Amino acid sequence: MGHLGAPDDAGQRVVSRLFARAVAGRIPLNGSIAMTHRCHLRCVHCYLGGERQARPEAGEQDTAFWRSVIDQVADAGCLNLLITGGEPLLRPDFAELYARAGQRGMLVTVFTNATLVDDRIVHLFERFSPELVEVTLYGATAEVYEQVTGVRGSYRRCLEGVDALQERGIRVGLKTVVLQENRHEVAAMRAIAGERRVSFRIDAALFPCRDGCTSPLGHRISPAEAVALEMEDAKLLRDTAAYFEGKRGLPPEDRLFTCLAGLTSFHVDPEGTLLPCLMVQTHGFDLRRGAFRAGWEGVLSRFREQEIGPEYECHRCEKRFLCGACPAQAGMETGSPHRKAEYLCQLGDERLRAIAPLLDK
Amino acid sequence: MKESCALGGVDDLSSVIASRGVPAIVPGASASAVYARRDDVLLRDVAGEHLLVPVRRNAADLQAIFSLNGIGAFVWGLLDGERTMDAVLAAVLERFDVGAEEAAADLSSFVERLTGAGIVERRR
Repeated sequence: MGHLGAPDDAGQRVVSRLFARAVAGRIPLNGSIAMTHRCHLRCVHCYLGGERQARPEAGEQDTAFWRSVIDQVADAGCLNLLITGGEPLLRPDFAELYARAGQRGMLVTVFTNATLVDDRIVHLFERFSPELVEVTLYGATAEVYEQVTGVRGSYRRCLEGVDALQERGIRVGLKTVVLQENRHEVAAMRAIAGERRVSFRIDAALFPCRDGCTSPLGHRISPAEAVALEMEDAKLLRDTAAYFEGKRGLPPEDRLFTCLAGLTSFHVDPEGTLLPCLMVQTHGFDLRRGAFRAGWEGVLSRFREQEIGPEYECHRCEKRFLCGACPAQAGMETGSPHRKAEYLCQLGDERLRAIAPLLDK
Repeated sequence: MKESCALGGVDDLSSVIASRGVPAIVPGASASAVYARRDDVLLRDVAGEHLLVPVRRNAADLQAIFSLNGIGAFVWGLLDGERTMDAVLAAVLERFDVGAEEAAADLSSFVERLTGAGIVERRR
């Protein structure tokens, strides 16, 4: 076995090779499916707005449809599958579909608020280990958490769910989205994760609703405060600086989307529409009318070919590697994917300021 | 016509996700030994990689995913709990253009590694 390195080293090498091959071959290595947009919480900032209260029969696809989607994406080369929502545990067929994804050889991550975790779910995750169950904490106290979710008792149920998973050795990660309401509890939320020895991250995702309503944006904190909280994580600060060093100086792109959406990743929404990612509304393919392969090769391939419009300004900006510049989000915020989203731009400024002392001159 | 491929590549076997340390090495495979792949581990072709993905990963010994080269994937298909190592070796020699001695040594290392990782079981 002389050619074998230590498992970690070898593992990273294979991951890098796999990723490079997926990019070169435009293979859908990573995907997410939202089998429902329903949710029993009423978070003030949620981008799903009224969709959370929709009835299942209003557009949600049935078990057979999702079984077929899972099989098709596995056949197409998907390895990492995220099951998200809405709250995915609301689907009565969650266990069946989750297990199927595992049985097809995909590494499954589940985004859930954990308030519906019961013995049945714990047992399911024991039998088929998820890659990760990621849970959003909306506060470090019942008062703040429930001010965000609007549901009494949800804080206690969330932590009980997290602890039930952890007690059985299921890998859990915690994250939060920083809002006006919970900004003062970020440190305490980090401590909750620390006590449980699980990962913690700040998810900056705060978008307008899919129906165009901008009320979630009113819950944002200032870019300076958001970045200050984010960069309390010293490793993230170092990683961000290293990432920026590796990217700065690259020539401007000529394509509008330079992320992995539609290149190695995809999203399927509850109605069965295949999308490049959950933010994109402009390029969709109805999987009720055609196979995944047809949508991937057709509509999503064309999505990748969109060129930058004359008014676009972000592709020449050095901060584009820091701001999370996303034409889809810009489109939701400004009405045009070619126009810069001011809040993201300011996040870029603040992150550059934060990492400046770590950069080579 | 035989495929020209160095069997040395059989040990190009890598853990994608960190396993719990280097697996223990079991005694070398004898010619009459029979091995079986676990039926809860899938061989998947993803982006040109042959990946062994455990379907159930609750067991402490199934924390890793492995990547095999082409010969490794061929051998994996032969570890059916019926064939002896001699028969597996014969199939490799028939299919690939490699020397018998080198192939036997690599095959032995290969099954030791997978047995140590808990994804292949020795039946007899």
